Amino acid sequence: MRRRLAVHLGVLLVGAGVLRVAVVPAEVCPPVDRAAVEAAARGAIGWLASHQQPSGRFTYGYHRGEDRINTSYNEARHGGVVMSLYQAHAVLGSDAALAAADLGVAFALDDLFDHGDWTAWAPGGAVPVGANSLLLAGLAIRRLDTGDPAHDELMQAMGRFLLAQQQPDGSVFDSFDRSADAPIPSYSLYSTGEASWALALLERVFPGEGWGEAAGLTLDYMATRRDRVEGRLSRLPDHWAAYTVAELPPRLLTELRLDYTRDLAGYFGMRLRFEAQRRGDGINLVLRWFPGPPAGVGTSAEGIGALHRLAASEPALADLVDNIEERIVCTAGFMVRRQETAETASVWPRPQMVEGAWFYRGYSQMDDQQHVLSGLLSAIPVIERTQEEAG
Amino acid sequence: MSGWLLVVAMVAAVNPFRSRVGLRADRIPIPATAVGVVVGIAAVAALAAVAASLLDVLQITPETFLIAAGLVAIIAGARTFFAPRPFDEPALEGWREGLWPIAFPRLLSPEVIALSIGLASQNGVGALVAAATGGIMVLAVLTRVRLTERRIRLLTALGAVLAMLLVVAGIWMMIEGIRDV
Repeated sequence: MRRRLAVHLGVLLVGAGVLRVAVVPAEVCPPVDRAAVEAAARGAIGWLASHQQPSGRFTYGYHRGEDRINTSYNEARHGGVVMSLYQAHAVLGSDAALAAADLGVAFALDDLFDHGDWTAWAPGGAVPVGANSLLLAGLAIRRLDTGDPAHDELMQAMGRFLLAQQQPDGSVFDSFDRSADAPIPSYSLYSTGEASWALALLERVFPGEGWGEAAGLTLDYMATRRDRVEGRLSRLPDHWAAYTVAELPPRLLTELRLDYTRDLAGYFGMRLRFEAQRRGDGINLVLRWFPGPPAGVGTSAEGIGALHRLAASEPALADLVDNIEERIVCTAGFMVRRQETAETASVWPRPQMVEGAWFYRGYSQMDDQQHVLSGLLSAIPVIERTQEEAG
Repeated sequence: MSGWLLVVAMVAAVNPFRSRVGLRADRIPIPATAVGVVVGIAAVAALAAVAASLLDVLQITPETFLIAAGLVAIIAGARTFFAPRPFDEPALEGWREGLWPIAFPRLLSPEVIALSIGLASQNGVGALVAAATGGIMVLAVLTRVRLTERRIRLLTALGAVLAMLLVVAGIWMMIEGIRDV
């Protein structure tokens, strides 16, 4: 009997061990407070602003091991960084962020294309929806934050460009062909969500002009048909869709959109729980691989951060609030810890290109800082409140 | 997880039909059965009661553990489906038979342990213990039945049906664990 007992207990222990190591490693959430999150956010702002060129163009990427700056560029990421810096000014009152974002806008204003009935940023002649959407989102955040109406007409003209790209089913073609004077009938991964978010923000700046209804049309497309129409096998966990639904006025929050919100919260929650399991060493490295690319983790962080604002105010989503807050605080904890500090940066050839950034296997890109910065900014009110509650 | 699915999951995890086949063929005396039932229910209740603290210590969110518990349910269900008759275990004498092999290893199987921890935070300790008790009481009734070859074949078939339901419950748990925030 003892031998059989030992066999059964052995199976239980080995099974539990395998489960622990392979399926449910510890989800490590380092303690974090508002000061640490703000310092990390300011570090990221510093990286983006201090390596910005006088033209307003940002440094695209840097490989610390090879001491190599990536000289290529991506306009959608430029728009995203501008938007994130405006968010930083809105949350932290960072003048450095505002100045860098304004310079980033000036960089774009040099390449405007006036179509007559609409205007768009046309970097290098192309007229991309993604870059325009994020630039427009940034301008709308700036307008809501500062009250400065300097770009109001431009914002409405850029909004009309997005409407011209929007199709009756809510889909959004991802660029415009100037020579053919027509949208190019193709989609890209994120530009649809970026467009809907920009339109939702325009609704807040210019309420009652129909921008919110247009954003809702594209949101419904993303919730119901996009992945099938655009040839994806699984649902895209789109943080821009999360921003969109969080920005819509209550009268536009339909059951379908709230259900989609719940799905999105699940995607981000799962991604961030999985990320918290990653330590990047030993057997954990074999089973979970390296801590994820900062841009990827950051998108989930900002997505769930956006949903928090909605869940906290929408009774139908109230049951999600506690878990969302737990994920937000946990993610802020491990992303603060993963950021390069002055001390860790000092061992590399160009410490100033390392400090304040998040690297993935030796390389960091402007959107790594952008997405994590936006995620950390969304965590600040939650951490502030939990600190206050804790006394 | 709905109440009905919780009942299905816990009864399928306890799997009274398979558990009965894994005990001796004779009628089992009431004292032994009573000890097994009490210890089994108490153990499930204890696991469910400490589940939140245990997961906290292990730094695992309940949502993530639900995925692991679902995986255990799927593996256990598949094992039972392909190997529906458990190994014979030598029984202790008298009431101690309730401890071995009724309470352990028949009732406190890996799937019952995993589901008790995984589902307690979702459904509450009371509901989980009630659902498990349903399965345990069916086993208690079955211990009063003497097993013949025909009855063993019937119980084995019913055990396989519950195994399939356990797989379904496990898949459901994994999906919930993935979709939860």
